[in-house]
Amino acid sequence: MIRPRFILRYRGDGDTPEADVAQLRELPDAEVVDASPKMLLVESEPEALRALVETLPDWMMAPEQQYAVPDTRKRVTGPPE
Amino acid sequence: MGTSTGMEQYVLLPPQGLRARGATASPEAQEFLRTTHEVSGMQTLSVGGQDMAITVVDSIGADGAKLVELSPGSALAMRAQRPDLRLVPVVYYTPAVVEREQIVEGFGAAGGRAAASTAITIQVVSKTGAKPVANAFVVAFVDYEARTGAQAVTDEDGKATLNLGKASITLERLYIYPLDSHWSIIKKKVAIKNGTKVVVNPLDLGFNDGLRHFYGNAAETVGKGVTVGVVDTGVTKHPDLVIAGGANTVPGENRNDFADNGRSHGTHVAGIVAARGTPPKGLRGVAPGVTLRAYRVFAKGSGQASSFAVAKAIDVAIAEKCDLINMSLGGPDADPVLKAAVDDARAAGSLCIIAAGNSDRSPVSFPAKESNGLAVSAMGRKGTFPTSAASADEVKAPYGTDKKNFVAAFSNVGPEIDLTGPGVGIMSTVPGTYAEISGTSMACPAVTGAAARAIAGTPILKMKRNARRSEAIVKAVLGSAKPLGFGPTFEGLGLPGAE
Repeated sequence: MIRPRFILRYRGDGDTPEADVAQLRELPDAEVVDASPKMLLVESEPEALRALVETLPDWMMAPEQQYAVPDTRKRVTGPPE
Repeated sequence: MGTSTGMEQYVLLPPQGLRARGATASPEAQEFLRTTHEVSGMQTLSVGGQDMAITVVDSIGADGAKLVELSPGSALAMRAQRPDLRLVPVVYYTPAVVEREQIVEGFGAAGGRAAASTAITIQVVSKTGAKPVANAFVVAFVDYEARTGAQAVTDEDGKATLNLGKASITLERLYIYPLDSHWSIIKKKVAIKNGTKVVVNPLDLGFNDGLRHFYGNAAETVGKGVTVGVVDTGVTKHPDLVIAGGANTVPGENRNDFADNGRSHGTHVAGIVAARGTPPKGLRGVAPGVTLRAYRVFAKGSGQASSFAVAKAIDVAIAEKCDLINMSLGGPDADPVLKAAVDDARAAGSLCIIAAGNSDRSPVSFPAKESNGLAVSAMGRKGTFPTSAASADEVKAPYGTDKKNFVAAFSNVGPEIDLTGPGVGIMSTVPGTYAEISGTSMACPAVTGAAARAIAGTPILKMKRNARRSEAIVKAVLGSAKPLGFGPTFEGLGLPGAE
């Protein structure tokens, strides 16, 4: 089963606090897929993750979204009648 | 929301958050918010030496956000004169009721469920030596308004097989988009049958397309000292490009593989900003002297990028001291993470320049509509592409004071638009060769190149990397723009830095 992915972004000064990251990494049934100095990409059910993030100051959480390169080519959307 | 007096409602905000406090807002921004807090009824305020009528409808405290009413012209002037504040149109949300799309299967290229029906194979050949053109996207409309027909990609022999249910047919429209080296083509009321050949015209790199018409062929040093980050599908080595470095921020991929992901889009965008070739053997971008950095956010072969990869790329671009960050991408939904990354860039002295989107005059897409970056629409000019090119289909009112100029039919528009750039039938670099593509994706790097011209050699580049620096960049870029006569909703302040 594919679990949803969430992005956690640290909004405080400097990089993500190690203690916060350790807590997030230890969350049961959550997997950190990728990390950067400011963010974690986490695969998890949202409830437990949100509950933990709300206890950590200066973090925000949002579902991962997809962005497309804008295209101007015309496209057919159905077969001829 | 409009008012009975022709005024529009906007929210005036500090650069970050809802209150102007601490280091995130300049003393001038704090003072301006306090001044507007004291406004009752409609009053005339002087902003950057320009008088404008303003009504403050509501306020979140003296140093907080204000709900204001301004004319669209005053709103534009406010954004130009007070880049240390955000001014965003009021948005009223309604329940998002979306009708489910009908999923249509078995149409298009032969081999689908409709393979038993009659298929027509046409061949796309180059005007040069009648050579087959492989990998061209062929779109055949039987009914253009209903968008019905068939589409396919040409094989190595230049052949595309279309399931149209008949052995011969007159198409309402036929579009052919070669992958590279040729102009796209549109044909109307065209009869096709098995074996029909369609000839496409090769690109002439000495031709004056929209980019070269407005920005010419700059000296190689133009833009020197400015670092531009291209957040896109990656940039592949090309004889016309000098890539200083970059990163791949796609989760699970090699960080150092920031070459194009196979879609060519990022390499095309990079060439518009910074190509150093010399026509007619190569192409020249708007600011060939910039230091170019590539940030790949699209996985190999993919047309979708994760908001994590995009936000991470912006963070890396900030850390690698990019002055300008080009983002020719977008989506319909606001995303707090990406918004935060664009905000952080602005606070760190960098500026994101973002394509408005190509949804045929729809509202500006996200993150372009996020006012901490600059939103770019696309315009075109008659005579800068062949009349047979698909670009000819993008000519649509409004026209400018020079009637040859028009706002591209595909361009998204709205009050968030800050600037416009040439984005119809633009030639640029792609891996191994050159291609013509249209889009706000092309207008965006044209504006990024113009922005590099505006700040190159100025004291701005020596400023400490903070919000004041990015405000100075915004002021210089917006100050270099000239209206083309389309109106603010279509062009913002106009075309920046054109010759």
